[in-house]
Amino acid sequence: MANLDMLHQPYWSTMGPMIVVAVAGFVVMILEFVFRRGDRRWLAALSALGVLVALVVAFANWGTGHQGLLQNTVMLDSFSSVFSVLILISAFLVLLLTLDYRGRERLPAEHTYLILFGVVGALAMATATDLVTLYVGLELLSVASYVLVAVRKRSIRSVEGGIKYLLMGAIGSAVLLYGMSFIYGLAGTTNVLQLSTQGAVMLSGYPAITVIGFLFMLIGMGFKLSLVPFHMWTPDVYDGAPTAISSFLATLSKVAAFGMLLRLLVFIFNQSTGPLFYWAGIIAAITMIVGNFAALPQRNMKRLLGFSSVAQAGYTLVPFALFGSSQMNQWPGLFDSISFYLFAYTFMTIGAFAILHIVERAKQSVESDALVGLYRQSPWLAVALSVFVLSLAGMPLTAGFLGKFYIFADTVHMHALWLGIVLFATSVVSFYYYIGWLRKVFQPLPTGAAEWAVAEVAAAAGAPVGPGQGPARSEAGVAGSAADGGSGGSLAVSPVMHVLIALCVIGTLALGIVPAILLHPLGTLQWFY
Amino acid sequence: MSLAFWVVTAPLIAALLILLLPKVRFTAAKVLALLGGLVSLVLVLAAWIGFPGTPSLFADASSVTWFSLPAFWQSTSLTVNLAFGFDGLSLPLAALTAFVVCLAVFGARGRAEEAGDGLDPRVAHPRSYFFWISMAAAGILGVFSALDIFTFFVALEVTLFSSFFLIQLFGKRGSNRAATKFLIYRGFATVAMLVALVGIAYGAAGYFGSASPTAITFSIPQLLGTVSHASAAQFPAYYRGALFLVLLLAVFIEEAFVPFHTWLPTTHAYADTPTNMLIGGLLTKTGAYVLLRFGVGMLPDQVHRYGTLIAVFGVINILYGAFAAWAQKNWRTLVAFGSISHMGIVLLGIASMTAAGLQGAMFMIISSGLLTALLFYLTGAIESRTQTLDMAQLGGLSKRMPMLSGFLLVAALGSLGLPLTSGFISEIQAFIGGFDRFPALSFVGVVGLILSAVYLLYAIQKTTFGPLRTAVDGGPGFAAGGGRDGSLDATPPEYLPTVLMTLFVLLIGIYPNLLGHLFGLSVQGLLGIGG
Repeated sequence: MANLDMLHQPYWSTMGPMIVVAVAGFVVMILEFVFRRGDRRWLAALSALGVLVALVVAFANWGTGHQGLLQNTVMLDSFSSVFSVLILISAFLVLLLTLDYRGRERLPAEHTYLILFGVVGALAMATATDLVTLYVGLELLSVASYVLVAVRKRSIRSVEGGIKYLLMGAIGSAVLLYGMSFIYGLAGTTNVLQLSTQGAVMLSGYPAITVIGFLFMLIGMGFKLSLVPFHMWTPDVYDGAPTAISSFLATLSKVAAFGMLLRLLVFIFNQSTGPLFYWAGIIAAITMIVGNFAALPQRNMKRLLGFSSVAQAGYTLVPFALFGSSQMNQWPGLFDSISFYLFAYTFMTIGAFAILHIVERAKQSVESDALVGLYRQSPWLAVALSVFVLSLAGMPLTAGFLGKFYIFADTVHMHALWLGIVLFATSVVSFYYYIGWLRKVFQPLPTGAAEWAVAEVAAAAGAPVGPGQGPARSEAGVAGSAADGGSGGSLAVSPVMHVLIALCVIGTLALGIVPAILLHPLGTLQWFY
Repeated sequence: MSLAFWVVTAPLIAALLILLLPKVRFTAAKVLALLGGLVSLVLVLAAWIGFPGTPSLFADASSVTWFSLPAFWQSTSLTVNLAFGFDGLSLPLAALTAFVVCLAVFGARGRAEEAGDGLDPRVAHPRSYFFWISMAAAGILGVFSALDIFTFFVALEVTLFSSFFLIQLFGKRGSNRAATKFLIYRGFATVAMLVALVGIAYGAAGYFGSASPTAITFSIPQLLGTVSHASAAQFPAYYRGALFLVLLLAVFIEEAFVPFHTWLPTTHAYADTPTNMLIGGLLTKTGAYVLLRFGVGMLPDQVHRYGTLIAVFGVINILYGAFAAWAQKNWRTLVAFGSISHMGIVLLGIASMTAAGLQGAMFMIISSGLLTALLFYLTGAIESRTQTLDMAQLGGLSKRMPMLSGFLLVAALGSLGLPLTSGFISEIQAFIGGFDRFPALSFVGVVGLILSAVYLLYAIQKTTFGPLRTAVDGGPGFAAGGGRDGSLDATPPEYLPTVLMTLFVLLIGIYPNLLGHLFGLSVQGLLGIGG
């Protein structure tokens, strides 16, 4: 039986997560067609379950050595394990956010399984070791994202964001492919493992073409990562997309793009390629500076998170820029710091988006003024948001600080102290806008808050609240605000959101206070072979 | 776990209890925070009694491995420890911290009745109020006792955001801007300090030099032993100088030295009294501590090299602080500028790099901490009665509040350096050191002492003596805050912090050897290194 032979191949261990998520995607798609009526939130729950199973499979693969498959186009190694786990965690958190979203707002049915297919693409970007396969993964993720951004067909901003993202994404893909074609032309192979022996040869033999190829690939990925100056789409798209999708773009999509960037450029150009990576250092510095300064005047919180994610991508690019100037035995440290920062970034960003989502729904506004009085209404949400914001700003005892500190230690190690100084100096700039949120959160409601609170409760009652809860809650809110004239109506938060926010808080604090839980597993990994 | 570890964690545990225990109201939260502070204080005193009389040795040190950044460099990984301990320099500072924290918590109270701007946030949210006070206390204690650079940073940033929240949430109306300013300024200071200290750690490992690098450590006691001996091949002077200047910049911002001082008066104008005691009395002393610990302790050659620069800045601060304080129309900002002037004396003392100068600087840190806290406490007590600290509206305080204004006078006299107060012994030592090395500069600096007498006595004369003003007699405070028996003077609970702090101001002035013994040890250690 030829089919039995397939079972002997290590497909399951290598591509297990991908297969599980793809199957879940198809199942959910079919079920979406079958069950067209009623409350279909269980489909999102099913998707989350599928991702969870994939996560377990990915964990089982952690640290099991390396294994190539399908003529070495797919590789199971430490790199793919770490990034698969990271992608699946963020996918799970995003799906939890979607689960809440679907209960509140009518979104087209395609929403859920498109996310799943996007995750498959992201996993392919983390595991593939062939230029073509990597590109297919990227396109799968990108196409799914274009649709997801524009999924609210009646919202002009959503459609605008979708078109913008499509155009910029297409340009990015084209530039990336163009860059790949140079490398393919020089080396005659698309396999990353074979290319990895030829990086230095190419650079010494054909420096101009190699530099062009490298830069085009970096720029192509730069569109996805929203590095300056290819970041223009970010605030518009984050603002236009539904909040759950914004968090999808900010975390999962970026993590996958970072995975692909590392796999592409570091694995290919692995020896004496300092001049190439020097460019990445400059882009990282510009990204940190522009991202943080552009965020200063923002009052729209989603746009602000967009700029903040630009800046965060800049921080993460710093270790990438150090690959050229370091020895190969120092690379595991750089990989560790990038993955640690991405873990931290995932938790704090999704957490911030989740709270933004709650506030947006309650106040019908994403202006930062909507945060005023949050502490009075829900201390728990206010504290959680403080944790996320402090972590994004890089305060100690949160994951963000440790991630930045690690990156800073990298820069000192690699004699690139100027990048480290830019990193911390711009993060002080970021204090200003992050702390601006905290100021609003802890501000008491303005005078004349009584009418305001009632109006807000009316708005909340107008929006569809969970079944059976709406009227009762808004009545209580009106009574409450009439009684003490200022505490306002309470925010309706579903249990799923509580779980999601709690997970993000735990992740952010755990990585900040006991970073060893992630650092030591990362430290034992064998990144190269 | 050593004493030092528990000194730091006691307020932290109190903070967590305040946060986690159910049904914690104002009094319960206050008692918990106070207990945390008291436990710290008792433990510090125990450490003091058991302190071995040897220079440059860290007592009660304990170190727990926190995590390590993996082995990617020379096959030695960078281990980060959670390490605390005391030496002759940090022990008195930790004791001062625990002492002032106890009194600040003891003195914390909120207006029970609703005023024009709604319920007092301290009464409305007692949990978060005492939680942040306890966190700030733990942070400051951590800064003074940390024996690992990473631990030091975590503690420093804990003080940063806990004070930010104290100013933001519980300050006067409009404290938003002050809180943000505080955060941005000190945030930059922290970044500069991070660059400098991590740079020193790497430099000590020979990373900037031509020699082959050795294992890197973040342990402060080890660095104290190695950095100053590092050869030029290992740690080139160019890098030492650059790192020292970055460190100096951080200290200047941290300590609110001119021209980076503007955050301090704003902060003091908007924060409430316990927060002011913590910030003015303790937090602004961290910069001087950093300069002594890392500057003098690790890069003494650079302190020598840039001595004149530091001394010039010191004198500028003495004079600028004094002149600015003279121009103030509000007691709080006056105290703020006065403390800037005091810290200028610290700079002058440190710049001299003589035994007397360094010891004077250390005395001045403690003395200024005590006096600033005392002045903020007293002015806060007066403000709670008069609702204002504007000098134009005050007058004749001594008629209504004889005891409070009496203590205010004592604090002011201590602050201007009257003999038999702690201010005197600090100033004279610092200036002896200063005259030794920079006679001309110190001569100019002495003018600041005369000015301090002018601005303090001028303010005292304006507010405590003279005719009664409406704010003091018959003002809003007269009705609201007046004692039950019609008297406006200090209530028994207010006597305790006032008397205790005044007592220590006098005690240090009369018997300086109380601290001098410890400071002497660490000065020996520092100069032994510095040659």
